Amino acid sequence: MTLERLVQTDLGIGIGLRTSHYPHILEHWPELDWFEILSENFMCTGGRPMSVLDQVAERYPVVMHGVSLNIGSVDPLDRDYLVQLRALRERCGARIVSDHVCWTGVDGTNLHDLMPLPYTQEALALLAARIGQVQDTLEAPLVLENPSTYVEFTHSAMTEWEFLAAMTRESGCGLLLDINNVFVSCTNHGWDPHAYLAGIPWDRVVYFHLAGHTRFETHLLDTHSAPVCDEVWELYAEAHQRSGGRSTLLEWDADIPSFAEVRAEAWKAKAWRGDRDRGQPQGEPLRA
Amino acid sequence: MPEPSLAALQRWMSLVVRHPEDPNAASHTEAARALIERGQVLNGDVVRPSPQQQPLQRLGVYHGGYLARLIEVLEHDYSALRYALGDDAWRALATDYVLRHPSQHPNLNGFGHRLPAFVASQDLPDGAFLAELARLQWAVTEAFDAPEFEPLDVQSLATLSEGQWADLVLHTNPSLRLLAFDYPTNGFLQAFFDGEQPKPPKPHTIFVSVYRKEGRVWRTKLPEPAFRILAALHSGEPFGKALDAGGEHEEDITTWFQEWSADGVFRAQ
Repeated sequence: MTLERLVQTDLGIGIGLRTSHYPHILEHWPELDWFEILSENFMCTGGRPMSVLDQVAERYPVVMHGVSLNIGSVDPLDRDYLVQLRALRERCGARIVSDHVCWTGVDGTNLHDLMPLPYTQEALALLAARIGQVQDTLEAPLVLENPSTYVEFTHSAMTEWEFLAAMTRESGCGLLLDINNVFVSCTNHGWDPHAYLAGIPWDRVVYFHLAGHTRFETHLLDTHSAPVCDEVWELYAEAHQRSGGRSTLLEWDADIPSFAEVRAEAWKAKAWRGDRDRGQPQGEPLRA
Repeated sequence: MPEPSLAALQRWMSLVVRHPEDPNAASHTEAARALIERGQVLNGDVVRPSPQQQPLQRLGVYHGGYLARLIEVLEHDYSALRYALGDDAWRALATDYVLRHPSQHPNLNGFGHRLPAFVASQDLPDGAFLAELARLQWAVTEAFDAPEFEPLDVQSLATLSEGQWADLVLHTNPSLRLLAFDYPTNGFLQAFFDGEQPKPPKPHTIFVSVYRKEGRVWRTKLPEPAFRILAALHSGEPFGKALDAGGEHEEDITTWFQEWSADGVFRAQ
């Protein structure tokens, strides 16, 4: 599957596959366009999670979303991790493999957080080279997400959206545009979210993320613990217009309500994107 | 002032985020200053201040998240241990563990694997019991995450002769954990899961098997002879020799074997 095909494939509206929803899903096989899984939750485990994933993958399109690729680190890429990632993709027939524009550890220590990169030529060159290695291993395009950030580096030489555009251009990777992260980072750093969206390379955007956040006195925190706020929905509508429509995923990872409530929140996206009748999801699994 | 290289910036942030106190204290340390001078940070030459936060305060968002995230992982795996210790002692223990054993794996499933030994190394009231409780809870986590397996179809053994039985080597399923305890740890854990408020028990030797069956993890208390036989089978001893490990209880072996087979304790070869 080429990046162009990924961009053109609108899977519809999905939600993250979460443990607390397993009983409901396995009993009802509810109506939903697709599921996104957290890749690491299904690596190094062979128990019930894999059994559930096998059953889900038989019935719904699945997208893999990781948090530990460590693509922006100066450490060498973890070959074992890449092999496991590829094996998982083959097992569940994932349509897309995504992670984040960030680093998660250095010198062998994993911080288990999406650490921010300075937007410099040095970081860009490192990312482009490593994305190439990952795509060679996966034999598929890698899709990377803009993270929420809480610091801005003084020596950054370009804006975040300029950096993302350059990254996709130089590496050939796709972009997962998290609309909530756009809003959180723009608020935290005083950026203009409309300028951000205007600078996005839309022909590289494969899918959207939506989520809720928590407002603190000094900053917004990307907690995935609340409904999507109105400002984010409005940015989503703008992104939908600019892109012409992309697969959309709602994330809810803390204080998770019932499956029905999460799905209802996700389905609000239908109204914001004009409720087009798309029929069946298109495209083929990314099987090697 | 030269801008930091990407490598220096990442190593410095890693130190700052993992420091036991806060980013301000971290920025004073020799290791951090060797990478980025504190003055650079305070001047905003590394992290730009926001209208609401100075650079070190902004880094505090990542610092707070690191500890909270890893302690949350431990609390998921060791809920009963947390209860038995009490919130303050648990918080202190978990914080110390996170700082001494930074995660080195992309997957957090195994992050708590050193906690039983860590608990055993601490000078805690009821420390021996608490270390056993940690071992039992970790065995449950391991059983949950163990590789998939096909249970043995015992009908396939129906035609074996007595001699073939004696030489038979059975393979236990990869989730099986066998634990001998000096305290009734399994009863304590069950009481906790049942919503009771159990107290640390008095010593009493018990033997427990932990295994996964059809996606659920089970804990079963075993008589000592059954434990010895199953442990021998688990270590790869042939059936005849494993029976010797149980002493004079051969009359019970049929019952035990039927129970183990029904529970999928053995896997297909």
